[in-house]
Amino acid sequence: MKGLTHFMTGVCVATFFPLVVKAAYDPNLILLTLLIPIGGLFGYLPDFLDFKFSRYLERADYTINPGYHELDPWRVANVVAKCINEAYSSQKPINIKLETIRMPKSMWRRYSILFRLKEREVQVKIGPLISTGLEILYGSEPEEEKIAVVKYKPNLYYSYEDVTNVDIWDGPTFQFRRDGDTIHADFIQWHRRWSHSLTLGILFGLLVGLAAGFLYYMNDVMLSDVEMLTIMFIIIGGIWGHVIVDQLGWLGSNLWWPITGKRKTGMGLTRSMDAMANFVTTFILTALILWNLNRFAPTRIFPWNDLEFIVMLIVFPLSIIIAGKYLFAEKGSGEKSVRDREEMDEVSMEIAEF
Amino acid sequence: MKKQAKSTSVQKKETRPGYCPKCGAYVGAFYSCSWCHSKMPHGTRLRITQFASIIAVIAGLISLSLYARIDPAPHVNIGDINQTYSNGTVTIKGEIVNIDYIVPSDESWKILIFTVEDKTGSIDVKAYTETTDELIEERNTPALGDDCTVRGSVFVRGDELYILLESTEYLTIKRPIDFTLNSTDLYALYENNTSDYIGKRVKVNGTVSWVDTDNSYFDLDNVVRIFYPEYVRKFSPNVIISVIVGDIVEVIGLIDEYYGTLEVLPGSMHDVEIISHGGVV
Amino acid sequence: MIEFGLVITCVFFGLCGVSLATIFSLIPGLHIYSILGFVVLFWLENVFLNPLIFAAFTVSMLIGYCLGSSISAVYFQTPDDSSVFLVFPSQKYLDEGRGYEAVYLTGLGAVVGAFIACMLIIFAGAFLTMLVDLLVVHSFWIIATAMLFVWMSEWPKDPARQKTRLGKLGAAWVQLSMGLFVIVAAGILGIYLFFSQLVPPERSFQGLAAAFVGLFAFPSLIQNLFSAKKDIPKQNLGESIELNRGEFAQGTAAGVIGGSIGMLIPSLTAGVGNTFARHAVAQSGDRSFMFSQGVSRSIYYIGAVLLLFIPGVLIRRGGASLFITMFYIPETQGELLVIASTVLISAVFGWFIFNLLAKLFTKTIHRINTRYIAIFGIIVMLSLTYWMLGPAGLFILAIGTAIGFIPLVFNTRRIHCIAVITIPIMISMAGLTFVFSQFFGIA
Repeated sequence: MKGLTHFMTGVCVATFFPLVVKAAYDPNLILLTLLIPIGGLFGYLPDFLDFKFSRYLERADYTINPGYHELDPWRVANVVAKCINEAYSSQKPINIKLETIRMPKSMWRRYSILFRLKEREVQVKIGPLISTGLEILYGSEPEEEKIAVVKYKPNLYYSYEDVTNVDIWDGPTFQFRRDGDTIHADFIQWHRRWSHSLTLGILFGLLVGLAAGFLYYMNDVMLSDVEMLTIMFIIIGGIWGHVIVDQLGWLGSNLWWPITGKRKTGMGLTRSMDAMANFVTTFILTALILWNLNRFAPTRIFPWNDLEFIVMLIVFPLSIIIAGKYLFAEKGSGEKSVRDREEMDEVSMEIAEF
Repeated sequence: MKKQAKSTSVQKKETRPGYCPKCGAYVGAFYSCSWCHSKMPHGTRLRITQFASIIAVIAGLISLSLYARIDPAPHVNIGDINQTYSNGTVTIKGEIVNIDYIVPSDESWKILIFTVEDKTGSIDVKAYTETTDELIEERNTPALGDDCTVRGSVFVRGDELYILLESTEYLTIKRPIDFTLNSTDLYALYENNTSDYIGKRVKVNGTVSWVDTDNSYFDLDNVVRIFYPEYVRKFSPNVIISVIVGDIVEVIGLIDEYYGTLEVLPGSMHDVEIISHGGVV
Repeated sequence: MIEFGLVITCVFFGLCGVSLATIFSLIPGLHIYSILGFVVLFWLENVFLNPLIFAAFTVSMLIGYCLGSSISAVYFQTPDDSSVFLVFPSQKYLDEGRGYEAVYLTGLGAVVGAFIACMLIIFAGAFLTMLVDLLVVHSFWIIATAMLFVWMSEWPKDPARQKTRLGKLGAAWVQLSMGLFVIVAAGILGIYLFFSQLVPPERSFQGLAAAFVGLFAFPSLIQNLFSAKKDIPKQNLGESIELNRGEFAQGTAAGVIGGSIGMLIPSLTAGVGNTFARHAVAQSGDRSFMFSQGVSRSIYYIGAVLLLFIPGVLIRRGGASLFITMFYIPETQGELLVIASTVLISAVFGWFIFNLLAKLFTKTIHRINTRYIAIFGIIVMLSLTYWMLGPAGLFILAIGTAIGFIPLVFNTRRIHCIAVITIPIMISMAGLTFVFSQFFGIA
């Protein structure tokens, strides 16, 4: 899901607590309403931790690119194949980082990697220019087709049967690790490894709650149980909301870090990179926030009961929007969702959305 | 030949801004080339600009701080205030000539409006709920005849021009006492020179001779009426000064006249002090 | 009852306003509020004129600004707080000779936005009033939420090719830290502007003008002045502009969301709203983006004024509303309809002027040295600032420029500079004005 959706999830969760919403009506308690944006902060935090910290701290054994001028796919294919072989022979995980190629005018040169598992080949192809908004500049491919095919030795398990594009901003990483006689390839292994865990949510909730209690205690104020629990549950709810929403997608997360060590595949229920899905989710979250603000107000501003509110602010407008999209929007290719493409796109869009 | 052509093309790229002079890759506005890590020609200039801009911001804000402290809320004549003063932070000085205090029955909000007048004009000053509550709690409520200094923001709404008081710290009230007398002496002076004494502040003492059933006023020695203005009663709804006939009291208040009756209007309930009860100390 | 003669006069002044503003807005760096300040001074000297005429003139100037500044933002790369995001794709279009496309899409968005703003206020005024009533008491945390997301969602632009991992982390966080630095610095500037009197008291109504020019426009002007001479390539004057249904819908949705956030929440401008809107509708594609920028600016500026005209409530958002309420408070539905009509007629009329100017500049921009344009803009802005606010105004402008330069040299977001109004307003809403005034020595 997009960052705004996660952020709004955290904000929405916080508004379900009447204590923080009603504080807006008391000038002496207004600072308590800052728990709402803090809820948003923790809702966004898992991706923030990954993209602003984890990806920089990940060790890369090999950093490869086809060269700015050379655009030589063999440079990439040879090293990738070598890494797969090395991971098998050394029995140690090998991390590689694929670097992007920045061009003028906010453009990037795309290149793609394909693992052909049956043939045990890695194929690298130099692609067209692409904008930061992922718009392909057709006709910008190299004059001569630049494609390299290199064989590797061991059996490779890679769940994606489609190309991996290296295009904008920061390039992807792979980790090749041996498991028995097979080399497993993990795509962007640092993402959702520890940051997207339910345990982290509990940890942050406890830490922040205790810190808040301590700070208030230093100022001779004892927080009540309700207040402490409110703080903790806002934090936990923000992070859990993020993790659960991501789990509805395809890539999944490592839910019980540090107890578990690997990402658990997502349920594949949603196309989280879909613009409409994100918009609808954000819309519903916003409506729920307004619902909470309204029902916790001393006097309801919108004179509707809860059912009327949901119909007027969620059902009715969304019906119009969704109907409009399907009636008037240009039809897509009708391509069937494929898990590997969904997972790849999920991460790519998370990077690209900025 | 091919190598020469390549180096020529690299040389061409070197001269273009944003391109690495060493390897010819496009870098953009970054300090060093992300390919060969060599420093870009604009790198030094970029660093200097970055450093200079931080220094400029810090120096600028320090200068701003010094400048702002000179006169953060300049004193202005009330008569000069017009629409172009909107959102300005000013200080006015004058006498309080009118007070209005609006509070609904459930006391969910409060607005205190007092009019300040100087030689050039008059203007309303408004204080909303929180500030008003603090004024009452600090016993710093304004009263008619007070000399005050007010700092606030000028608000304009159509024809309405007022100053918003945002903190009790920004209201300074002086309630100078012009003279101290007992009630009969005050009455004697007042009878001889009525107009000279209206609007003056007096500290008067006397014996309570009559008390209104609603406790909204009482008389001293049958010559001076001590009357609590409505805003005074609203400011201190929980403060009741219960005087009875025979009590000796001392009151600080503004001299006024009501249909020929000499009145003293206390500025707050705390301006009435019972010296002794019914002759008993 | 509003006389027909008054209505015609309003429309006439509307046409004058949109014409003048479209032309004035070509001056790089000039914000319409700077011009409106002088209009206010003129009007105060001529109070015999009906204030509804002033309102019509003001709102039509805003339309003219939305149109005219599209040209200057694209061709001269000088944005204001609501068009900061327009600079990047338009720069690319300019380099590719497609500047006219960028200008046209933004201008078209402005006209569509004006229409949507009118329809929203007229037909959904009651709903918007309730929404404002609901949200206004929560403005404190809403503003905090917006500022937090704008900072958190920033993507580090450094290519992360340093040799060490800590080096990569440090390089990324330099940009993000400078974003925080900008927020704090702009916030401090705002605190001094709001809680003390820096400009002459009789010019307080324009107290923020110098800061805004310094934060958003001047850095670009100076950058244009000192950067290597750019030959703007010859621009193509296309017969048609491509904008498909999906891009139109997405651009409109993003523009409505962004403009509405700026319109409804105090101190949040369309620039902040656009950050949310782009994410909310998953906006991609430059055409949709540029179109949405035009829509959002129109809805923000014009919608904010039209909110004031909803009868029975007093919703003041934006500088133009403050200027109008200096003269009178609208009370009737008739006044709303007169102003809305003026908006629509002015938008149509302004569109024709805009088209003429856009074509003129498209044909000639490659012959113009942008350095001279920058110098002209600098001279005009300095003169206007000095004329209105005196030396204090220039001082504030200088500090604002220094702060506004930080995003340019550190690649962080310019919209962080909006902290100049959001921070002091949050402090005021939290009842901490005196505490902060004491801390900064201005109590």
